Amino acid sequence: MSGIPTTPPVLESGAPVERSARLDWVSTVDHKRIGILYLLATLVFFCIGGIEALLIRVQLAWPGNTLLSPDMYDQVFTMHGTTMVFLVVVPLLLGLANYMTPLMIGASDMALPRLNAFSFWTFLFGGILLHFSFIAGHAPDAGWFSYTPLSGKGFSTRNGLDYWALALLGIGVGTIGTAINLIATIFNLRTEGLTIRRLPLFVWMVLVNSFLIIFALPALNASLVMLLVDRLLNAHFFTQIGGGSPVLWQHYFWAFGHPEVYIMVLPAFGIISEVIPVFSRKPIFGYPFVAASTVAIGLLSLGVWAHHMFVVGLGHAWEYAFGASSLLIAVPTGVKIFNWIATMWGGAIRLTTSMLFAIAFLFTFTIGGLTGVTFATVPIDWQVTDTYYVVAHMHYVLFGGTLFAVMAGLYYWFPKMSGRMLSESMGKLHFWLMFIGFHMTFFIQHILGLDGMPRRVYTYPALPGWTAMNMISTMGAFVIGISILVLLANIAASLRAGPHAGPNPWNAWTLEWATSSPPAEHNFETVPPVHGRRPLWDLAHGSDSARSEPVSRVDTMKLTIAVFVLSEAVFFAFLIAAYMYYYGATVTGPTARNSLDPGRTLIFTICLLASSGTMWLAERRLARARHKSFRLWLGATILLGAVFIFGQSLEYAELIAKSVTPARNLFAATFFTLTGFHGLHVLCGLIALASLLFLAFGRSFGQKQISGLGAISIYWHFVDAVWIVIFSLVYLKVWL
Amino acid sequence: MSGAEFLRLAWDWRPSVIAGCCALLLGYAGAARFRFGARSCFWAAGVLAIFFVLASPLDALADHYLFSVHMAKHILFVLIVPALLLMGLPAPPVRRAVRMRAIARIERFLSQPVVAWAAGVGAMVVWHIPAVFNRALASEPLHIIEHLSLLVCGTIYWWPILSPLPEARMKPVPQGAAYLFTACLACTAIGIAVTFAPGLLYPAYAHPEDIYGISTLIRNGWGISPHMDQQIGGILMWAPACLVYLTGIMAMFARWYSEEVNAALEAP
Repeated sequence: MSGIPTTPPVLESGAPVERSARLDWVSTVDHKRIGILYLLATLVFFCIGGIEALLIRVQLAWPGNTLLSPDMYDQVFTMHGTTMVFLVVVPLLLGLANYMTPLMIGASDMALPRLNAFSFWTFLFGGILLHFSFIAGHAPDAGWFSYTPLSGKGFSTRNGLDYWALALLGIGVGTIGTAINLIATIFNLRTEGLTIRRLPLFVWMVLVNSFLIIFALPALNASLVMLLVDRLLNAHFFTQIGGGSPVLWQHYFWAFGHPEVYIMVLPAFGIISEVIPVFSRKPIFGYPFVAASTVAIGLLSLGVWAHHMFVVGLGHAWEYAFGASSLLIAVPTGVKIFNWIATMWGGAIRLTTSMLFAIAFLFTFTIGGLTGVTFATVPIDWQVTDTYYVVAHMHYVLFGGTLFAVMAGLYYWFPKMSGRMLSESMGKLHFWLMFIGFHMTFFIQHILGLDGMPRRVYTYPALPGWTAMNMISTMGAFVIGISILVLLANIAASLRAGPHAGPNPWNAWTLEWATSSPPAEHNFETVPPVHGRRPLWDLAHGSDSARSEPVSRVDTMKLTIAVFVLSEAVFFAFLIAAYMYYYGATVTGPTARNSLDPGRTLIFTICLLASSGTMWLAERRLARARHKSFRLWLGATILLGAVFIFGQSLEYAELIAKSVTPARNLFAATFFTLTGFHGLHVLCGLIALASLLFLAFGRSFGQKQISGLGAISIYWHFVDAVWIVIFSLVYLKVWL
Repeated sequence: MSGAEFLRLAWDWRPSVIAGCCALLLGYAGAARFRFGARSCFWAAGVLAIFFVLASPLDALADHYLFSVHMAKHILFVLIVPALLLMGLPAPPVRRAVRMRAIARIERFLSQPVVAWAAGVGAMVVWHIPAVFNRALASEPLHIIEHLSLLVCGTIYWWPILSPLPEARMKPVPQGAAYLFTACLACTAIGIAVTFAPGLLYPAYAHPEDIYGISTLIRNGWGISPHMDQQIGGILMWAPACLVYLTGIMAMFARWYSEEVNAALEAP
C-alpha cells in the first residue's frame, strides 16, 4: 500500500480507471474498500441466489411443471439456501460492519487490516468454490443443512457435497477472522471518551454478534470436518453402519445453525436501532434494555438448537426443555420491538425510504417472530415442520427481517459510502414493490404450509386452491425481482449523477457523519470529542455533561489470540465430544485398548508439555533482553514440538500398517480426526515458532516481534492444554 | 398411594430441619437487630426454600424415586438458596464480621474469583460423578455432608456477585458476566454428558425401594422411565441452571448501566 491517500474511485466512475487503481482494489487493506468489496460480492451472489429463487418459483407456479427435473430442483433449492445464508446475509452484514464500525468509533481502520483482507478473500474463494461445483458436474443437493445420511457418500455419490463442505469451511474461517478483527477493533480503537457503554447500538450489536460467531461457527467447522472425513476417508460418523449417528449431525449442525439465525439478525437489529432514532429525531428509548437484551438473545440462542429437531424423537424431556427455552428467547426480542416503537412514539418521524424499510422490518419481523413462537410449541411444530409454513416463517425473519433492515441501512449509509444521495422517489418505488412483492410471495405460503404442502418437493398435485396460491406466490417473487432492478437502477443513477450528500445529510449524530462523504482514506481529519451517546448532537446543542471518561484498552495481539484460542477451544470441544459420544459404540475391530501404546505416547506427551516450559523460559529471557539464551530456548521449544510430531507420525505409520484407518470403525475415525487436528495445530505452531526463530537471528527483533511472540506463546500453551485433555481421554483411559 | 395422598402425607417434619430453619431465622433477626427491610424477605424466602427442599414430598421423591428431582434439589441448594440468603444479608453485621482479622483473611482467600468459581462449579461436578453420587445416596452422613457442602460452595460462589459489601463484588462487566457465563458452560457440559449418557449412571433409581408405594404411579401414571428420569435430570442441570446464570448476567448488565447513570448524576 502506498501511503498517499487516494480518492475512492466511485467519485470518478465516469473516468477510465487506471490499471494500477484496479490492482489497488485487489491489494487493498482499507476497511472501506474491503467493506465495498464485501457488498459488491454479496450483491453478485444475491443476484445468483435470486435467480435460483425465481427458478424455484417458476417450477412451482403450476402443478406438474417440468421446467426443472427433480434432480435439478434439489440442486437449485440447496444452492439458493446456501448462497443466501452463507454468501449473502452473513457477509452482507459483515461488509456493512466492516465499513461502518471503524467510522462509528472514530478509528482510522480495523485493528488488523491484513487479516481483514484475508477474511474477505477467503470468503470470496469459498463462494467461488461453491459455485464451481456447477461446472465440476453436480451442485450440492441435500438442502442447506445437508442432513445425513442423505449428504453421506451412500446417497450423494457425486462430489457436490464435497464442494459444499469445503466451501463452507473456507467461508467459516473467513467469518471467524472478521469476527476476531471486529472484536479487537471495537475494544481497542475507540476514540477518547467513547466508552463501551456509549457505543452506537449498531457497533454494540456487532460486538455481541462477533462473540456469537466465535462460539457458533467452530461447531459448523467441526461438523464439516467430520462430514468430510466421512465422505473422503469413508468413515461412519453420521451413518448407521458401524454405529454412527445421523442424529449427531443434526445436533452439531443446529448447535451452529440456531445461533447462526441470530448471527444473521443481530446486526440487523443494530441497523434498526440506528435508523429509527435518527428519523424519529429522538434518542433510542431504553438504551440499556436494547443493549442488554442483545446479550440475552446471544446467550439464549446457544441453548435452543434442538427445537429444529422436535420430530426426531429425542424424548419428551428434550422437547419440554427446548420448547421452553425457545419461547423464552422471544422475551428479549419483544423487549427490543417495544423499545423501537417507544422510540418512534411522539417523535418527529421523517418517512424516508430508509425509515420505511425500518418500519416494514418491525411489521414483518414481528410476524416472523410470532410464527417462530408457534414452532416452539411442540405439537404445532409436529404438524407444520417441513412444510411451506417453515419456508414462510424463515423468509419473514431473514428476508422481511434482516434484508429489510439491510435495505434501511443501505439507504441510510449509501450517501456516506458514495458521497451521493439515492433518489427518494425511486427508493419509494423500490420499497413498495419489495414490500408488496414480499408479502405476496410469502404470506400465502403460511396457508399452503398449514394445508400440508411439503417444502423441498419439486412439484405438487393440483389440490383445491394450491395452484392459485402458488401462482400468487410466484408472481410476488417476480415483483421482488423487479424491485431489485429498481434498486440497481437507483444505485447506478446515483453514482452517475446523484446530488452530493455532504458529510451529514440526515442530521444524524454518530461519528461516521462527522467526516466527509465518502471518507478520506484515513477516515477523519479530527474526531469530535465524545461525551455521550450522541456526539454530534452534543456538539451542535452543547453537551449536558462535559465529563470525559477514559477508554480502557487491551493489548491487541493478546486479545486477538485469546479470542482465536476461544474459537479453537470450541472446535476441539466438539471433536472431543464426538470422541466421547462414540466411545462405547465401537464393538469390533481396533479400540484404544488394543491398538494404542500409551506408555510411548506418554514420553512424547512429556516432550510436548516440556516445550511449554521452554517457551515460558524463552519469553522470560527475551524480557530481560538476553537474546542468545532466548534463541536457545526457542530452538528447544521447536525441537520438543518436532519430537512430538515425530512420535505422532510413528504412531500413525504403525496404525496404518496394521490397517487401522478412519474407515475401519468409529474408534479409528474419532481417534484420527481428533489427534490429527491436534497434530495439525502443533504443526502450525511449529511453523510460527520457526519463523520467529528465523527473525530472531536477524537484526530487527523489535517490539512488534516481541508482541507476536507473546501471542504465539499463548497459542502454543493452548495447544498443549488441549493435548492434556486428549491424552487423558484417549490414552490414560486405557490404563484406568 | 395416589399422587394427592403422597403429596399430603410425604412431609417429613424432622426436628433437625425445623430447628435449623428456626436458628437461621432467629440468627438473622439477632444479627439485623430486629430491624427488617425488603432484604429480609429474601432471607425468609431462602430459609423457606431450605425447609421446602428438606421437608416436603420433594425430598422423599429425590431420595428414593427420581434422580431428576434430586437434581432439582441440588440446583436449589447450590444456586437458588445461597443467592436468596446472600441477597437477604444486611451489610452492617457482615462488615462487623469482616473486621475480625481471621474472617477477613478467609474472606479474602475465598472471594478470589478463581477460588469461588472452582468451589461452585466443583461442587456441582464432583457430587454428580456417578461413584460419588451413588455413595452419598447410600450413606446418610455423606448425604448430609453433600447438602451442606452444596450450600456452602454455592454461597462461596455467589459471594463475589451478591456480597452485601459492594467492595467485595467484582466488576459487573465483563468480569461478572464472564464469571457467570463460564459457570453456565461448565454446567452445560456435565448436563449434556448426563443427558446423552446411553446407560443408567445412578442405578439406585432404576429399582427404587418403594417406601411410599408410588413406584407404579411414577412409572405408569406419570410415565417417567428410569432413562427419561436421567435425561430430565441432565437437562435440569443445564437449562434451568443456565437460566439462573443468565438472569445473573442480565443483573450484571443492569448494575453496569446503572453505575453509569449514577456516575453521571454525581458529576458536576
